[in-house]
Amino acid sequence: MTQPHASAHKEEGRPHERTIKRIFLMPAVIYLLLLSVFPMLWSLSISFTEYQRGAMRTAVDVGGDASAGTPAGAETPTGQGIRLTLRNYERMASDQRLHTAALNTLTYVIGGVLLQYVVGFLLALVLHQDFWGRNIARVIFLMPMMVTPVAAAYMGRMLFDSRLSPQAHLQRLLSSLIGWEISIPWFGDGRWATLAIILIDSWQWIPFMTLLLLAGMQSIPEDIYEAARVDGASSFQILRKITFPLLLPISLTAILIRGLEIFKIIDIIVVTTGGGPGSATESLTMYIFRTALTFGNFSYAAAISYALLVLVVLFATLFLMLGRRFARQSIA
Amino acid sequence: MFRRQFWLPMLLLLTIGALIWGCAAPGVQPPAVGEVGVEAKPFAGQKVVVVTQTGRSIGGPVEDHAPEWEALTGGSVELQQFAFGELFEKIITAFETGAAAYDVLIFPANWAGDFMAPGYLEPIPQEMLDRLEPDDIIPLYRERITAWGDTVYALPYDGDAHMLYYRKDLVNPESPYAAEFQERYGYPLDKPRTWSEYYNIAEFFHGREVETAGEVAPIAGVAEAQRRNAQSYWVFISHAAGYGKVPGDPCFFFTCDDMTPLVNSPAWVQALNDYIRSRDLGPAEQLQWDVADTRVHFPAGAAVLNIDWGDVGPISYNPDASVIVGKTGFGVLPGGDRYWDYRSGEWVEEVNIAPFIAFGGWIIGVSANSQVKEAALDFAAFMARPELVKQLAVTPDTGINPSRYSQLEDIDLWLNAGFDREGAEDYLAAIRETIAHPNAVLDLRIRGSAEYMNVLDTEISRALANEIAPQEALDNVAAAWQEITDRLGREEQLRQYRNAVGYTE
Amino acid sequence: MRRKFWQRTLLYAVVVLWSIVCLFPFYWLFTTSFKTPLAVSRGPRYVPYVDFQPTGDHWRYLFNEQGRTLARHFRNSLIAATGATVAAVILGAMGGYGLARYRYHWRRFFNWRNDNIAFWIISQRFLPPALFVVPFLLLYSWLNLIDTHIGLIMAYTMFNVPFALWIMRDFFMSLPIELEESALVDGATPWQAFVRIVLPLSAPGLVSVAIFSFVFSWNEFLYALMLTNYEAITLPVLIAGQNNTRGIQWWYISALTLTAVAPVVLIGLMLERYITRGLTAGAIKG
Repeated sequence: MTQPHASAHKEEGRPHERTIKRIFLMPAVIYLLLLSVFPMLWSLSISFTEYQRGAMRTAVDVGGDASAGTPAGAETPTGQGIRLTLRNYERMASDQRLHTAALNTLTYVIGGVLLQYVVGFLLALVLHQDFWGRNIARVIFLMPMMVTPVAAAYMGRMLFDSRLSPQAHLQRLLSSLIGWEISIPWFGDGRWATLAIILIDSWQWIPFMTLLLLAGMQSIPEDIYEAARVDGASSFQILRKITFPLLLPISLTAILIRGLEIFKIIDIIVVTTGGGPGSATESLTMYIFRTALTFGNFSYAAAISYALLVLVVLFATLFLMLGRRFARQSIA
Repeated sequence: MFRRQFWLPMLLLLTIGALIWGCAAPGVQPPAVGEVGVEAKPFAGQKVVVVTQTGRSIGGPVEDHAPEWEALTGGSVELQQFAFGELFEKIITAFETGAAAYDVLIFPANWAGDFMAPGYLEPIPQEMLDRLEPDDIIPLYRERITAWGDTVYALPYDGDAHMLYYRKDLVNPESPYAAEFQERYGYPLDKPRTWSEYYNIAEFFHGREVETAGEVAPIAGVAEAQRRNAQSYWVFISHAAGYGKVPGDPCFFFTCDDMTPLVNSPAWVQALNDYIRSRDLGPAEQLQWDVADTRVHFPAGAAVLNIDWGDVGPISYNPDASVIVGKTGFGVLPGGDRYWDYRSGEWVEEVNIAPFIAFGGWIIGVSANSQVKEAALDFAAFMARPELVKQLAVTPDTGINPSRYSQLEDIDLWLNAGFDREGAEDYLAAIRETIAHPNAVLDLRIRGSAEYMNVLDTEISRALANEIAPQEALDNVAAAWQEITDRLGREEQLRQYRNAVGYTE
Repeated sequence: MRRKFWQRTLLYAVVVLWSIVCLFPFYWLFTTSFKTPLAVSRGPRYVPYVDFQPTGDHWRYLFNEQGRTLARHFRNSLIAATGATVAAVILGAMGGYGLARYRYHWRRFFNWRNDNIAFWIISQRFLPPALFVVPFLLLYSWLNLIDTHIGLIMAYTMFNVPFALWIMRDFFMSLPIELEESALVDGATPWQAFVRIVLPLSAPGLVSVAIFSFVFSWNEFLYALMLTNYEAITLPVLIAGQNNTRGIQWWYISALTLTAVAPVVLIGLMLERYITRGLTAGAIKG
């Protein structure tokens, strides 16, 4: 995404130089390798086995901590011997609940990113203007981002309640005003619940978009605008021909970051709908979490995680490819 | 400039942190042990970590009474609470990773298969059980729910069964609505005995403008927990019990021949259709309500009928939370108008009352790899002692319901707790009848019950959301149950199920 | 001029509207934390003393009866977030500086150069956490790290480092290189140049990275839920746990949530200018 860096201190190769540059980078790289490689390889390998709850107990004991007595349930055929199997991957093809969860997750990603980008862009434009109270506004606009997602979810649950919330009150007032019944069953209906979850996530993360886009706008040199204004361009033309194209790279980054974050959504859903009604709001992460920790089906959970990883990589690659092409066209 | 900007908030944060830390300090350090006290206080310096669900319910009594135990024994008690939806995962993961994180566990009896069978819990010494006035405990709670095989792994604490609640002021033969009801349905308006009567009442009142505590507002027919990943499957099973429980045959979830699930039989489909009807006769957001919500809304006058555990009794008499004090009627769960005999494969046209001992109650166990086992056992016994449990059952918000004969017989206990005589008698009669009922259904209590129930929970939720038809949903459940049974070992599961329901060939 | 007037009006309308959207939930939490249960369950009540009688009971309950629990979670959150922030800022600043100022070429490793390395590092931030649920549990139980502060700090550092490194790299790239070069000419080692010259200049970047790391760690839920049992458990788990069977106690949750959110919101607000400045300097050139 970022262009290759500007300049380096010195040519590489001298022994001292090599040590010093390693000292800078290696701690981070080694740390990440250590903590991510074991889990990734381990998940990959168990996704080809039938690794169930109870087997973990054995693995832990082998690992050294054998404090407790032998589980009496060891007679069940779990965790004995290792047989390679593709069953987990086959099961994914026919697992309806998984497909729904994947679809829901995609809805969150696409809906959330679109909403957050559009509103975030608008707000960035506003904050880029000079007006009285701008600093206060900037601070206020930032507040939602600091809130713990679980807390934001509880706020959402309160504010979308169909009896106890101000917006329900508003709906009732409106209904009596125009004479026909408006009553949005926010969390009672799958589609509305999805929307509510997207809205809660957006409330929290629109500030992030605004922040990045605003920073991007501030780094566009003023003289470009001057020149355009001298040429008699209208504000809308300036927005369309200058601001938007110049912001494309940062927009892509922002969208990518948010998109990938929403792929991981779980906390808001746990608090608001628990995945329901039906399976209308269950996300992939939530389903994996259930599969692993409630059902104790670790290998299947690992298999789904890998599928999710593939999905995420595909999404990112595709997005970057399309994004770059789009960027080239709109600049040309 | 920069420095001030940066340090100010940091300082603030540290101050807040230090303040809160300071508040906690007395609790963090083990209580000071005097030289003299060492012998008198057997567990001086030992820390017992108790885990249970969040909130005042179930955990509250530990908060309130732990200081007494601490003063008595010199030990200290720390309470860790998780949301009900995460409690099972947290406990089982702690067990599996071998972390001796929790010493005392207060958990739902139907997880016994996952906790007791693998030996994660410490057997309870006989002499400790003897101290609990065992003859006073209702046998169901004493024997069935605290033991696995012949070994007792937990102390009884709470008793739990589903029952019916209704608005006595609206539903009675003298109510202002009685005449209209009689005219429409051809029989007098009174406490519903069967599901069809239940739904007639629900339909009759749903959306009607009714006076509650001085306010006239539309009321809903029913308030039933239907939120996914909470307690909805218990409510659903309560619907199914009357239709699917064959009198004289203990096998209800599975056949006792080969663990074939019965969950997709016509009885269960009928129950699911009913449960879907409840959705349409309840408040708009009922699909997202768990008992947490119905226990707020029913006492606040939102609905005429309600199905819940015993908790609603004391809550309905709590003037801080209830606008229907003294206006609540109590009863055994409605029965099926007919029941499905799975052996002959046909409906038997006969009213069939089959209360569901949903959940079975919270019980207290001690972790087998606890580092402070003695202290933990002692604290468990302290919490389960008869005098305390009796008092807790009549206190609103403890979550503890009657599990002892003395609690059901001693009406003064309830009168002192704010019940009126009629209400107390009604309430106790309903509980007595439920748990003594020969046709009662026990909760599923075998290994993997959490997974079996999660599948059921998901599929009924999908049916409620109109994603799939009831039959299809329950067929999915049956298929998944078969898969789970095979995965865990059919023989063993069958053995456990037969044991759990007391089936003998 | 007429047009200008309308533009202004529109501008302020948007600002006011969005400020309400941002602030109203906080107002609602605040008032709810003073409501009696019946004032909540009997429909919306808006203004204290006007349509309901406020009560301080819930706050008293939170800080007295629940004080110990709250303090334990608060302390753990503070330790975990601070630890992870410090670690992430150090690792991120060093790595970011390396990638900004030196050329790497890992011949034995896919022939990766700076951009590949940077991309690999940022991609770590986006791995689905579900992938790590079980292996982390296993790994941590081998290392006896379950339910420890250090364990939580390690996990949080892992997802904070990529972000920190990415931002710091761009920040360093936007700094003029001349200052370091003159320091090197004066005989300073590269390390000295980094610590004495570059870091002080990078304060806005460092602060914004620190804030982000702190906020992310403070608010994290999934790992906290998985990896802690009692000793190291954090605030978000406490908040998420309020979904109990005795009725959702909105009044209590509101008080709890405000307490949990207050420190980060305050920090964020006070250091807001650094967040923007830190990001503007580099990260966002895209």
